[in-house]
Amino acid sequence: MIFPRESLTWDCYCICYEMDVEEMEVDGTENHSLRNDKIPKTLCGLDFCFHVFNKMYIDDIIALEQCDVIPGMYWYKRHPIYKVDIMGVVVKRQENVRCFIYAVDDGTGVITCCCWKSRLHEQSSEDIETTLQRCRNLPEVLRKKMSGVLMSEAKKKEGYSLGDLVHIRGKIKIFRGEREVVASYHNKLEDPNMEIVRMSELPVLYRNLYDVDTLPKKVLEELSEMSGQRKGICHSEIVPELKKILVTFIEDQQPEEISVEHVSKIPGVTDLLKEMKTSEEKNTQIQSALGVLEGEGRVFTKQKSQVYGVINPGCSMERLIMDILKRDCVKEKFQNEGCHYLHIVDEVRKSPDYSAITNSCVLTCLNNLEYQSDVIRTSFTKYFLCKI
Amino acid sequence: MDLPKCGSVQEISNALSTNQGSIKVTGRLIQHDCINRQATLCDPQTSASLCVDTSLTEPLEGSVGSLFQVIGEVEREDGGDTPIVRARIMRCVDGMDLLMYNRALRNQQKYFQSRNVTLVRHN
Repeated sequence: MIFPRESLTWDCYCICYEMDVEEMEVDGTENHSLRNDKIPKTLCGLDFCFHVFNKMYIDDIIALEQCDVIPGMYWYKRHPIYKVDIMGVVVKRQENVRCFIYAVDDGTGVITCCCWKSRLHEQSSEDIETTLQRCRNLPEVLRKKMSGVLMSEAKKKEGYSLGDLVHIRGKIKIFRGEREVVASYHNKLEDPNMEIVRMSELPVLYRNLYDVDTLPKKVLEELSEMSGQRKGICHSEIVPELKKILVTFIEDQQPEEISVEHVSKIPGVTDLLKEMKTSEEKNTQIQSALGVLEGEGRVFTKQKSQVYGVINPGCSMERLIMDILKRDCVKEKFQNEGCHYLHIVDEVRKSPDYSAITNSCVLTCLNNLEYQSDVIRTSFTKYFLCKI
Repeated sequence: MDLPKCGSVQEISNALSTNQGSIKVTGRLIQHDCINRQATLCDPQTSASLCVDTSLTEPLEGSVGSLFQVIGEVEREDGGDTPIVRARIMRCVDGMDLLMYNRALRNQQKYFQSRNVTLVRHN
């Protein structure tokens, strides 16, 4: 038997062989630092390995790292592997009622492959000749093809014998503690050169795809950014905790003002910030917690001092607002509907103490006043005095 | 299922020197004695030859002159200097391009060396 060198497999083989080996090795080491951390499971689908049958060495399939999160998935370096494509020689076979079990050897390792028997074959009791008889009207070429297909199908039914070169595609499963490939496609290869094709194809695939990161650079950058952010989240988890402590502190003690120093001495806060070494770090955390509270209108920054004013029922800003309302609600403009809260904010900002007050602080104050029945809302945004 | 050891792919010329348990070699069958169940495999390029015990694989598919691939264990008989390969798989690979096969094999070994993994996992 002589195989034409022009055939497709030969072409692909020669291309594989001619690829520059040295250059590819450089690529392999470049991404070394990224190898150890895995892609988050939600992004596994981005990797080409996830969807395809990966041609791999059997030794590598046996050594694949199991993924804890997703059952049935394995890691080869940073690539999620579900399905594999192997080619090797049958070195052991076992026939069960429902399936054939083969041991396949590709020169690097041996793995068991489970090939389920097709139910269809059991049902069709027709033998090849009667089927061909039915198709005798077909042209000669098709009839030959038909008999070829039927013959190979019939052979598949009998299973492969020792020493056959087989091509198997399937999912990796663990059966009785051993890894095996459950075949979704299997075929016997008549051409011994297919083994050579595979042998020269694999190093190229490994060097270019499996051993390197194949995700686009942009995705990789975003991934590394994300992992950086995750560290940030760890820190920012402290801020909501701090906030909770501060809120209970303000509600219990009702202080008029609060400072960063003051906060750091609250027992709960010292516990929380124990892990941080420098006081600068602690202060930034406290400040960001206070910033959150300011956004919610519970505290406000006082001008020219490091002290935060606290908005409590009965605080000095309430008196100021009441004064403003008493003055303005008599005016003709506001007589009927009361003052818009933005007008009140403007008026409050005129006082030097509260020149940078936020809307939310004034709204909290107004809420407190409303709660005490000092003011009443005539509409969603307008406030009126209860007693003039 | 008890899995046999994988046959590490070797060229005939250095198959016996490695002294590994299981090997896989490819060569031309130049002599076959079916009564004593012995055969000789030869590499056409280096003309290195190898003695094969075929008692587990008789009858052979091909005849003398065919290319054969053998998976088996290297054994040294007591007293005898020449090691023998006890074949458990013997398959006829007529039509295989041995030159290309050896090149692909060297390429594969080079790759495995580059990632510092030996070709055979010793169990």
